[in-house]
Amino acid sequence: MILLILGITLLLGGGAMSGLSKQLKMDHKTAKKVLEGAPVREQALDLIGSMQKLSEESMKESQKLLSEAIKAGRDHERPSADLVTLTEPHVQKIAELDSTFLDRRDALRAALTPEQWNAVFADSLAKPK
Amino acid sequence: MVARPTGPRWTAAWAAAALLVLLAGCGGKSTDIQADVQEIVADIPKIVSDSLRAEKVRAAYRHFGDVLVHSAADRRALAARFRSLYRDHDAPRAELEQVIAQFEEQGQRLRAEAMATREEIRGQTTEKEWKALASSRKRLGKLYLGSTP
Repeated sequence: MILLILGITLLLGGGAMSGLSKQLKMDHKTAKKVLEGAPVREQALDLIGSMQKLSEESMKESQKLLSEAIKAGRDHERPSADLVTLTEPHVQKIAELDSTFLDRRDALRAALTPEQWNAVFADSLAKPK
Repeated sequence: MVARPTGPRWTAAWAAAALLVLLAGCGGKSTDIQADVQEIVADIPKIVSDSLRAEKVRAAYRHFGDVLVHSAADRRALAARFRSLYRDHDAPRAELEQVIAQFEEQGQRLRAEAMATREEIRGQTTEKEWKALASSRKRLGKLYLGSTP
Protein backbone atom coordinates (compact mmCIF):
# COMPACT_ATOMS: atom_id res chain seq x y z
CA MET A 1 0.00 0.00 0.00
CA ILE A 2 2.38 2.65 -1.07
CA LEU A 3 0.61 4.77 -3.58
CA LEU A 4 -2.90 4.18 -2.49
CA ILE A 5 -2.18 4.79 1.14
CA LEU A 6 0.33 7.54 0.82
CA GLY A 7 -0.69 9.14 -2.40
CA ILE A 8 -4.30 9.47 -1.53
CA THR A 9 -3.75 10.24 2.09
CA LEU A 10 -1.29 12.96 1.37
CA LEU A 11 -3.36 14.08 -1.49
CA LEU A 12 -5.76 14.98 1.26
CA GLY A 13 -2.99 16.42 3.38
CA GLY A 14 -3.10 20.01 2.19
CA GLY A 15 -4.23 22.87 4.38
CA ALA A 16 -7.68 24.37 4.34
CA MET A 17 -6.55 27.15 2.05
CA SER A 18 -4.32 25.09 -0.25
CA GLY A 19 -6.71 25.23 -3.16
CA LEU A 20 -7.64 28.90 -3.04
CA SER A 21 -4.96 30.34 -5.28
CA LYS A 22 -7.11 30.58 -8.40
CA GLN A 23 -9.95 32.09 -6.43
CA LEU A 24 -7.67 34.66 -4.80
CA LYS A 25 -6.22 35.60 -8.17
CA MET A 26 -9.74 36.42 -9.25
CA ASP A 27 -10.34 38.35 -6.02
CA HIS A 28 -7.15 40.32 -6.65
CA LYS A 29 -8.31 41.21 -10.14
CA THR A 30 -11.68 42.35 -8.83
CA ALA A 31 -10.07 44.40 -6.05
CA LYS A 32 -7.95 46.23 -8.59
CA LYS A 33 -11.09 47.46 -10.31
CA VAL A 34 -13.47 48.10 -7.44
CA LEU A 35 -10.91 49.84 -5.20
CA GLU A 36 -9.80 52.22 -7.94
CA GLY A 37 -8.93 55.54 -6.29
CA ALA A 38 -9.37 54.25 -2.74
CA PRO A 39 -6.46 55.04 -0.37
CA VAL A 40 -6.41 51.43 0.86
CA ARG A 41 -6.14 49.97 -2.66
CA GLU A 42 -2.42 49.17 -2.58
CA GLN A 43 -2.55 47.74 0.92
CA ALA A 44 -5.54 45.58 0.01
CA LEU A 45 -3.89 44.34 -3.17
CA ASP A 46 -0.73 43.47 -1.24
CA LEU A 47 -2.72 41.54 1.33
CA ILE A 48 -4.76 39.61 -1.23
CA GLY A 49 -1.57 38.92 -3.18
CA SER A 50 0.05 37.66 -0.01
CA MET A 51 -2.93 35.41 0.70
CA GLN A 52 -2.61 33.98 -2.78
CA LYS A 53 1.08 33.28 -2.28
CA LEU A 54 0.35 31.57 1.03
CA SER A 55 -2.18 29.36 -0.69
CA GLU A 56 0.38 28.41 -3.32
CA GLU A 57 2.99 27.79 -0.65
CA SER A 58 0.59 25.53 1.22
CA MET A 59 -0.03 23.57 -1.96
CA LYS A 60 3.72 23.22 -2.56
CA GLU A 61 4.22 22.04 0.99
CA SER A 62 1.54 19.40 0.47
CA GLN A 63 3.28 18.27 -2.68
CA LYS A 64 6.63 18.02 -0.90
CA LEU A 65 5.01 15.99 1.83
CA LEU A 66 3.41 13.79 -0.78
CA SER A 67 6.52 13.10 -2.81
CA GLU A 68 8.74 12.46 0.21
CA ALA A 69 6.27 10.07 1.77
CA ILE A 70 5.59 8.24 -1.50
CA LYS A 71 9.30 7.75 -1.99
CA ALA A 72 9.78 6.46 1.53
CA GLY A 73 6.61 4.38 1.54
CA ARG A 74 7.65 2.41 -1.50
CA ASP A 75 10.09 0.51 0.68
CA HIS A 76 8.38 -2.62 1.96
CA GLU A 77 10.81 -2.88 4.84
CA ARG A 78 10.19 0.62 6.12
CA PRO A 79 7.77 0.80 9.06
CA SER A 80 4.82 3.16 8.68
CA ALA A 81 5.80 4.96 11.89
CA ASP A 82 8.78 6.34 9.96
CA LEU A 83 6.44 7.87 7.45
CA VAL A 84 4.44 9.61 10.15
CA THR A 85 7.63 11.21 11.45
CA LEU A 86 8.53 12.21 7.93
CA THR A 87 5.24 14.01 7.36
CA GLU A 88 5.13 15.89 10.67
CA PRO A 89 7.29 18.91 9.71
CA HIS A 90 5.19 19.45 6.59
CA VAL A 91 1.94 19.18 8.51
CA GLN A 92 3.31 21.71 11.00
CA LYS A 93 4.35 24.07 8.21
CA ILE A 94 0.90 23.84 6.61
CA ALA A 95 -0.67 24.74 9.97
CA GLU A 96 1.60 27.79 10.24
CA LEU A 97 0.64 28.88 6.72
CA ASP A 98 -3.06 28.53 7.57
CA SER A 99 -2.57 30.75 10.60
CA THR A 100 -0.65 33.39 8.61
CA PHE A 101 -3.40 33.31 6.02
CA LEU A 102 -5.92 34.22 8.71
CA ASP A 103 -3.62 37.04 9.91
CA ARG A 104 -3.65 38.50 6.40
CA ARG A 105 -7.40 38.17 6.19
CA ASP A 106 -7.75 39.98 9.54
CA ALA A 107 -5.54 42.78 8.26
CA LEU A 108 -7.59 43.03 5.08
CA ARG A 109 -10.79 43.09 7.08
CA ALA A 110 -9.42 45.92 9.22
CA ALA A 111 -8.34 47.90 6.15
CA LEU A 112 -11.57 47.69 4.16
CA THR A 113 -15.03 48.94 5.00
CA PRO A 114 -17.75 46.26 4.80
CA GLU A 115 -18.93 47.85 1.54
CA GLN A 116 -15.45 47.69 0.00
CA TRP A 117 -15.04 44.14 1.24
CA ASN A 118 -18.31 43.04 -0.31
CA ALA A 119 -17.45 44.78 -3.57
CA VAL A 120 -14.18 42.83 -3.73
CA PHE A 121 -15.62 39.45 -2.82
CA ALA A 122 -19.22 39.58 -4.04
CA ASP A 123 -18.12 39.06 -7.63
CA SER A 124 -16.20 35.86 -6.95
CA LEU A 125 -18.91 34.64 -4.60
CA ALA A 126 -21.40 34.81 -7.42
CA LYS A 127 -19.26 32.83 -9.83
CA PRO A 128 -19.37 29.05 -9.94
CA LYS A 129 -16.11 27.30 -9.19
CA MET B 1 -4.99 -1.01 -23.92
CA VAL B 2 -2.78 2.04 -24.10
CA ALA B 3 0.56 1.74 -22.33
CA ARG B 4 0.99 4.23 -19.50
CA PRO B 5 4.24 5.72 -18.31
CA THR B 6 5.40 4.24 -15.06
CA GLY B 7 8.18 4.71 -12.53
CA PRO B 8 8.75 6.92 -9.52
CA ARG B 9 8.86 10.21 -11.39
CA TRP B 10 5.64 9.57 -13.21
CA THR B 11 4.05 8.35 -10.03
CA ALA B 12 5.02 11.47 -8.11
CA ALA B 13 3.91 13.67 -10.97
CA TRP B 14 0.59 11.91 -11.19
CA ALA B 15 0.05 12.15 -7.47
CA ALA B 16 0.95 15.84 -7.45
CA ALA B 17 -1.44 16.48 -10.29
CA ALA B 18 -4.06 14.51 -8.45
CA LEU B 19 -3.50 16.64 -5.39
CA LEU B 20 -4.03 19.76 -7.42
CA VAL B 21 -7.17 18.38 -8.96
CA LEU B 22 -8.62 17.29 -5.68
CA LEU B 23 -7.81 20.40 -3.71
CA ALA B 24 -9.02 22.60 -6.49
CA GLY B 25 -12.23 20.60 -6.27
CA CYS B 26 -12.47 20.11 -10.01
CA GLY B 27 -12.07 16.39 -10.59
CA GLY B 28 -13.92 14.20 -13.05
CA LYS B 29 -17.39 12.71 -13.03
CA SER B 30 -18.73 10.59 -10.24
CA THR B 31 -17.71 6.94 -10.24
CA ASP B 32 -18.89 4.03 -8.17
CA ILE B 33 -15.60 3.67 -6.38
CA GLN B 34 -16.87 0.98 -4.05
CA ALA B 35 -17.82 -1.32 -6.93
CA ASP B 36 -14.40 -0.76 -8.47
CA VAL B 37 -12.71 -1.48 -5.14
CA GLN B 38 -14.51 -4.83 -5.17
CA GLU B 39 -13.01 -5.59 -8.58
CA ILE B 40 -9.52 -4.77 -7.35
CA VAL B 41 -10.07 -6.78 -4.20
CA ALA B 42 -11.12 -9.76 -6.31
CA ASP B 43 -7.71 -9.71 -8.02
CA ILE B 44 -5.72 -9.83 -4.78
CA PRO B 45 -5.66 -13.65 -4.47
CA LYS B 46 -3.89 -13.74 -7.85
CA ILE B 47 -1.07 -11.72 -6.31
CA VAL B 48 -1.04 -12.93 -2.72
CA SER B 49 -0.84 -16.69 -2.98
CA ASP B 50 -1.63 -17.65 0.60
CA SER B 51 -5.41 -17.53 1.06
CA LEU B 52 -5.31 -16.44 4.68
CA ARG B 53 -2.97 -13.55 3.97
CA ALA B 54 -4.87 -12.68 0.81
CA GLU B 55 -8.10 -12.37 2.78
CA LYS B 56 -6.46 -10.02 5.27
CA VAL B 57 -5.11 -7.86 2.46
CA ARG B 58 -8.54 -7.81 0.84
CA ALA B 59 -10.16 -6.77 4.10
CA ALA B 60 -7.63 -3.97 4.50
CA TYR B 61 -8.28 -2.72 0.96
CA ARG B 62 -12.05 -2.83 1.47
CA HIS B 63 -11.82 -0.98 4.74
CA PHE B 64 -9.59 1.71 3.38
CA GLY B 65 -11.73 2.06 0.27
CA ASP B 66 -14.69 2.86 2.54
CA VAL B 67 -12.60 5.31 4.54
CA LEU B 68 -11.57 7.12 1.35
CA VAL B 69 -15.10 7.46 0.07
CA HIS B 70 -16.28 9.04 3.30
CA SER B 71 -13.23 11.18 3.93
CA ALA B 72 -13.25 12.64 0.42
CA ALA B 73 -16.83 13.76 0.89
CA ASP B 74 -16.02 15.31 4.28
CA ARG B 75 -12.94 16.98 2.90
CA ARG B 76 -14.78 18.52 -0.01
CA ALA B 77 -17.47 19.87 2.30
CA LEU B 78 -14.90 21.43 4.65
CA ALA B 79 -12.94 22.98 1.78
CA ALA B 80 -16.13 24.47 0.34
CA ARG B 81 -17.04 25.85 3.76
CA PHE B 82 -13.64 27.50 4.12
CA ARG B 83 -13.82 28.95 0.61
CA SER B 84 -17.14 30.51 1.43
CA LEU B 85 -16.17 31.77 4.91
CA TYR B 86 -12.95 33.57 4.07
CA ARG B 87 -14.85 35.84 1.69
CA ASP B 88 -17.61 36.56 4.17
CA HIS B 89 -16.94 39.84 5.94
CA ASP B 90 -19.06 38.81 8.92
CA ALA B 91 -17.29 35.49 9.47
CA PRO B 92 -15.17 35.78 12.61
CA ARG B 93 -11.65 34.37 12.68
CA ALA B 94 -12.72 31.79 15.25
CA GLU B 95 -15.13 30.27 12.75
CA LEU B 96 -12.39 29.91 10.15
CA GLU B 97 -10.04 28.48 12.79
CA GLN B 98 -12.70 25.94 13.64
CA VAL B 99 -12.88 24.78 10.01
CA ILE B 100 -9.08 24.58 9.86
CA ALA B 101 -9.08 22.51 13.06
CA GLN B 102 -11.72 20.18 11.62
CA PHE B 103 -9.70 19.92 8.43
CA GLU B 104 -6.57 18.97 10.31
CA GLU B 105 -8.41 16.60 12.63
CA GLN B 106 -9.91 14.86 9.63
CA GLY B 107 -6.49 14.75 7.96
CA GLN B 108 -4.93 13.22 11.05
CA ARG B 109 -7.60 10.54 11.22
CA LEU B 110 -7.09 9.72 7.57
CA ARG B 111 -3.32 9.59 7.90
CA ALA B 112 -3.68 7.28 10.89
CA GLU B 113 -6.05 5.01 8.94
CA ALA B 114 -3.69 5.02 5.99
CA MET B 115 -0.67 4.14 8.05
CA ALA B 116 -2.55 1.40 9.88
CA THR B 117 -3.71 -0.06 6.56
CA ARG B 118 -0.23 0.18 5.10
CA GLU B 119 1.14 -1.57 8.16
CA GLU B 120 -1.47 -4.32 7.92
CA ILE B 121 -0.73 -4.98 4.25
CA ARG B 122 3.01 -4.69 4.74
CA GLY B 123 2.76 -7.37 7.40
CA GLN B 124 0.73 -9.65 5.16
CA THR B 125 2.81 -9.43 2.00
CA THR B 126 6.24 -10.34 0.81
CA GLU B 127 8.33 -7.71 -0.92
CA LYS B 128 7.49 -9.28 -4.28
CA GLU B 129 3.75 -9.23 -3.59
CA TRP B 130 4.01 -5.68 -2.30
CA LYS B 131 5.50 -4.56 -5.58
CA ALA B 132 2.93 -6.50 -7.58
CA LEU B 133 0.13 -4.75 -5.70
CA ALA B 134 1.41 -1.40 -6.92
CA SER B 135 -0.68 -1.45 -10.10
CA SER B 136 -3.92 -1.99 -8.21
CA ARG B 137 -3.00 0.84 -5.88
CA LYS B 138 -2.53 3.11 -8.87
CA ARG B 139 -5.83 1.99 -10.31
CA LEU B 140 -7.66 2.62 -7.07
CA GLY B 141 -6.06 6.04 -6.81
CA LYS B 142 -7.32 6.93 -10.26
CA LEU B 143 -10.80 5.68 -9.48
CA TYR B 144 -10.82 7.73 -6.32
CA LEU B 145 -9.86 10.85 -8.19
CA GLY B 146 -12.52 10.14 -10.77
CA SER B 147 -15.10 10.10 -8.01
CA THR B 148 -14.30 13.60 -6.80
CA PRO B 149 -16.51 16.35 -8.20
